[in-house]
Amino acid sequence: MRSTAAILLLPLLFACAGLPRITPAGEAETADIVKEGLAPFLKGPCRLVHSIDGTLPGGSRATMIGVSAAEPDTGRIRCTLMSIEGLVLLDAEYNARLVINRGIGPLASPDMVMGMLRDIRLILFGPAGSPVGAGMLPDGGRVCRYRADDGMTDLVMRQRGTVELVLYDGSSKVVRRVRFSGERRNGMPANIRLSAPGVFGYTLDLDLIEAEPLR
Amino acid sequence: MRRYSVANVIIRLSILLLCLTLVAWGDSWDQIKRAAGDITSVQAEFTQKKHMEILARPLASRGRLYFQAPRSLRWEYLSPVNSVLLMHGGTVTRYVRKGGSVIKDSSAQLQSMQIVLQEITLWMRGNFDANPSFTPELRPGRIIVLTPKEKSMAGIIQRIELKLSNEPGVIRSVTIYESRKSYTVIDFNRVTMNKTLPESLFRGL
Repeated sequence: MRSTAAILLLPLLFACAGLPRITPAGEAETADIVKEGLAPFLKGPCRLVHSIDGTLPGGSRATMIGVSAAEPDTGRIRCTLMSIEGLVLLDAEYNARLVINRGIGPLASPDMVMGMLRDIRLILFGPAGSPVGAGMLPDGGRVCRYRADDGMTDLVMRQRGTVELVLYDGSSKVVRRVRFSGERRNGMPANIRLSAPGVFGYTLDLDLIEAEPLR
Repeated sequence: MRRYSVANVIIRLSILLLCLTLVAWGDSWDQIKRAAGDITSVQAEFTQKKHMEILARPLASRGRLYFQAPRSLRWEYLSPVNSVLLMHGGTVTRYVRKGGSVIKDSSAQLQSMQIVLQEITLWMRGNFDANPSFTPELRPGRIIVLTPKEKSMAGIIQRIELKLSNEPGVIRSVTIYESRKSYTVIDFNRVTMNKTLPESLFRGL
């Protein structure tokens, strides 16, 4: 029986080979870690307004305003991106399928908009999949690890309530890092930094302007 | 068909609005053109309200602008995003203040802005019909309506409406319609004309 369980767990061990090792926590502490890790994400339907400072490939920078209305229960998202002057560059919604109500320039591309929506989902809804472990990382951070079909996600608790999300692809390569920090307003963190590594990498710094629960 | 980049549209609209702020008054184009020649500087405060279907209430911004003839401009948002657009000596710069730091905007729109600067001198003389992007119409009640000439622009901006104040040289509000449910209203107040402005306003933060 024990050997059968070990064989069944082997794929999981190999899949996690490139990820930081976790020293497992006790049962009681595990529940706390899971709860704490999910603190930055939406608990119910909400409308959010952020200023977004983007550092794009090549180092150019641009600042915009983003408005999102999201329902974590259904996964429905509507998002609007506009210039500081108020010109709407993107109005899109996702509810099982993508609809672009308005897209100007590169933001008319469904592929690009879907990429944006994936980032927004990550920021608002948190990790896909189920928890597969919780405990302590070698650097001392408490962590909860999630496993989904296409990769793993770590939620790491840092100092002063900061939570860091690290998204790994199927080969355990880091594909996104998201850092949630600052005071919470209506449960949402004041500051979010999303980084996509690589040659075409980019960084988005989001500062919360408004957070309002939707009825 | 002429194509417009996002940056180009923003720039054109920003400059158009600013210039209209400077020259919009009167009940006839001739009156507008005559009065435009007397303006040497403008400073004003503004509130901007963005209306969208996704918002339960409009998103409010506020700021101030300074203009010094012939072509120096400072268009500054104080909230919710603190940003400053500067045009001076033929160069265009944009800064965003964030926390204690200042970010210099290096997007392509600043290059496009220099091209559009040439149009400012025309607008300053009240030559709205010289703008290749919009058809101007002066309506009763001191309202100017600008309609895009080209389909590609009309897909981005349906029309712009300007309401002029009773006070010569002062514009009361500008409304930019992107669609039936998405529009921006900018209200101007505390407008001061022809006051000497320090050059440092247009040189940096």
